[in-house]
Amino acid sequence: MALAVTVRFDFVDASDKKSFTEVNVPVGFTIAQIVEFTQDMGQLLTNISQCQLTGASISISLNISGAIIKTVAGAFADVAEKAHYVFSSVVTGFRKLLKIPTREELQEVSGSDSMNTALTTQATFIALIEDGIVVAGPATILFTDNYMNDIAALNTARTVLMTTAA
Amino acid sequence: MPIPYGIKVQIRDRSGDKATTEFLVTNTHTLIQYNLAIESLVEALDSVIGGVIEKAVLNIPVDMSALINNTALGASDVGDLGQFAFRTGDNRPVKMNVPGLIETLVASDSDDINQAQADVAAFITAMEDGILVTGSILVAPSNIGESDITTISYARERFRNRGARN
Repeated sequence: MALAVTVRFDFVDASDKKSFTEVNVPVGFTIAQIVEFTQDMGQLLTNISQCQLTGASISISLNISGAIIKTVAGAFADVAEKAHYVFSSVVTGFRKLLKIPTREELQEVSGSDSMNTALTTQATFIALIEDGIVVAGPATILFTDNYMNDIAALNTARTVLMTTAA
Repeated sequence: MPIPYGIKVQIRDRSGDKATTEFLVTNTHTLIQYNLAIESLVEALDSVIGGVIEKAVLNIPVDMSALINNTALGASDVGDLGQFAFRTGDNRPVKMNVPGLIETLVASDSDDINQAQADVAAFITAMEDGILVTGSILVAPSNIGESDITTISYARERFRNRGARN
């Protein structure tokens, strides 16, 4: 059974309280078609609500069933232990922080909290973020900052331990 | 300002705790191309983390700036819900709560929403029959399992307790 696409609509009322509602649609439509559906459905919802519709988003499950990835977490894997990768984008002064949970301690520089970017695994991951992914079309899906500026180069990569409940 | 798409990846650690990280990507590609790219991304990510990648979701923000009459009215309250209960073709229930239902859409001395009112009827028809988008393609709402929504069971006003009000 396929998992339907979820369209979420966010609302705010006069007291600045927020809420949302969701509509599912089947997979199989193009992004443009679902976007048009979302905009039309948003107007229909606005017509029966006193609240302001502040935003809408579409969530589509991507198929990772063919990826070769681990199925059992490492013995010390902890989502509170994150690797923070800071990249600069092509526009001077703009940066993008990636917070990656369950960082591997063995991939750090010994005696440091810096990720060992010389390791093949680290270098491959960083190159992919910097260069993007070439797909059929052909096209290159680029990684970006919040303003869709292309990510250019890694600045820092280090471990950050987050606080968790006892 | 261009808004990038997000690829949210959920990671599970040794204790079963979960966390999500998000990669922003260019927004000019097809769904097929994003699905082609995801394997490369999760395999590169998998090699630098200790956790297990459970799922990846493409998140698409939608421009809703063209909505008409989209303001929060003085009496609006996200806790005042219009609850619409539908059935799919295979008789499964689907509930949808619309925040801030307009009070005048509720029949007097009742909690039933007036389904004959034009805006309510338009919304119900869109949920039951779908919305026609460019190319004469019908995008019809479903449940999360992709079963088509076919009929409405009831539409009622509901109140959600949100604590003290100002």
